[in-house]
Amino acid sequence: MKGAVSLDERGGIVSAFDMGTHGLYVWLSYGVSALVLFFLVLEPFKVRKKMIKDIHAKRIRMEQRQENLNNAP
Amino acid sequence: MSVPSLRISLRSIFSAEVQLAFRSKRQFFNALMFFVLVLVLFPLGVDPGKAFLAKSAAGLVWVACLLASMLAIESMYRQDYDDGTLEQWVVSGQPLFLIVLVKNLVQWLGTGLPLIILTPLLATMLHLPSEHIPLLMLSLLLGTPVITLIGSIGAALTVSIRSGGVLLFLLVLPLTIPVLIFGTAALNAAADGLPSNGMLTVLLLFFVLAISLCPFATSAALKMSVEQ
Amino acid sequence: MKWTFFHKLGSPKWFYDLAERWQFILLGLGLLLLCVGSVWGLFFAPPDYQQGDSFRIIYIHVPTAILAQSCYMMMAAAGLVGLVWKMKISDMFIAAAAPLGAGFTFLALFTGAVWGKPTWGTWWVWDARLTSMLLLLFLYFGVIALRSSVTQVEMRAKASAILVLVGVVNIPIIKYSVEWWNTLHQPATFTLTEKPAMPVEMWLPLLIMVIGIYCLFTGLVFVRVQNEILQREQKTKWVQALVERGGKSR
Repeated sequence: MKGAVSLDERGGIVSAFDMGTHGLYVWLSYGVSALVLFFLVLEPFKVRKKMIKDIHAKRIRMEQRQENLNNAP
Repeated sequence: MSVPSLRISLRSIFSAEVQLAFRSKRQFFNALMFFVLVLVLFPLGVDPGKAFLAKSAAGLVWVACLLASMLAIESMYRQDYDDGTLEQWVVSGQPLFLIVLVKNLVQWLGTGLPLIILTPLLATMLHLPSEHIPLLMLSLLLGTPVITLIGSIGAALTVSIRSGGVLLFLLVLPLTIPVLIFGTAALNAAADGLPSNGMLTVLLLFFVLAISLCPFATSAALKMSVEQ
Repeated sequence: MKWTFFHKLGSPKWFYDLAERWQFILLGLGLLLLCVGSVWGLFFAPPDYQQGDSFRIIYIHVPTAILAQSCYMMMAAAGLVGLVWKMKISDMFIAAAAPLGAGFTFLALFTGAVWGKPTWGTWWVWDARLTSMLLLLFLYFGVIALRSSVTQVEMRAKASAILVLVGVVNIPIIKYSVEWWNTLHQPATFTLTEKPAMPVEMWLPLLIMVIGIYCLFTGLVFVRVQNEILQREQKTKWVQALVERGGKSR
């Protein structure tokens, strides 16, 4: 097991975040995956919010139109 | 009124379709021209050298053939849909998948066959070794009906969509990849001096699978398009 | 009664409430498992003796690839149910799952390509798995494109069900063709199958990631199916009442 920070053979501090020489690749894949997953999670909730607002607005519009019709002479 | 026998009605559909195809030759002609033009573009755009062309001729012909067939298939059921013929077929009580088979046969006679007939000319222009031309034609003979059969599913699905052209390509092309792979593999094997019977057998298998499964999917899609 | 469950599935309101109850549990559990699995895989699993640390990409690549493939199978099953029993919920499932499937397929492809760079030396190889994943991505795009160009609800349901079923019949053919084609063109590439079995501390985080991503997927499907229900049932009384409450189920 390797901890977050350890010592290399010569006693220098190496960070586990370096991932040997492959840091770029590992962090690139994890970063992009995190971004895509966050988008996939947030998107439907955003759609929901907008949808509820739209349905509500539509209903108020309908009610107003009905009222206008009733009030018309 | 008695229902006409299946054989008679299929035959009449076939002859009517052939006549229609002859009347609207422009569309089949367009596909053929597209096929030729795509193949002319490669020497001009990539490399007119004999070494490159001889190596890639079979693949180029196959890809161009695939695209040209798709182009023609797009409007396969369009007219039948617009003038209500499709609806008549659905309610006629005749098994729809047989009518679909007849349509596919006519479609293939209109596009696939001319492409194959034109192939020796273009293959020669692309420096394909002449002893491989019959094999190329044979692989196309087995492969183009499969392309037509699969494409006809996509055409049936998109018949009621006005701008279905690009959509059809997106739906159908991924499904035709196996045919392309084995069609060109037969030629590549022959170019390496290996027997290509195995690949041709697989193509034949694809043909049998396609002809026995695709018409059912197509007729389901046609029924759906009419019922809406 | 055994069949009440089946009948309830046909009731949008019942399913909406069910989804409401489960979505946050599933989403939370999924995200938690994904975090645990990632941290474990990134920092505590031992590096691979051949590939070093780049093998840690496996903890994203394999779960997303598994889900990408099984998502299409689930869509096909839903398509079959939709065609046979005309259940609306199955079409809603296809609508909800297709974009998710495309997203996960993209991730599997992307991580595969990034993994390929240190392993094969190039970002992209026409490797059998990458190629068939690419074709799977196009199949997902096809479903999404078809759905967005058909507006009539029942027709859209039938069309996408037929398309998904045709696709699922083709997937094994495509897969084997591509594999066969690949062995023809690339006889000597790095294969993962010829390695000794993974030690526990390597595959346990992988298992956690797989379970986590399935939880996340199920939760997201619930949320998206709810959106579909709201869209389609917006004229009904219960949706109107729900909107009045600001979207709270109860």
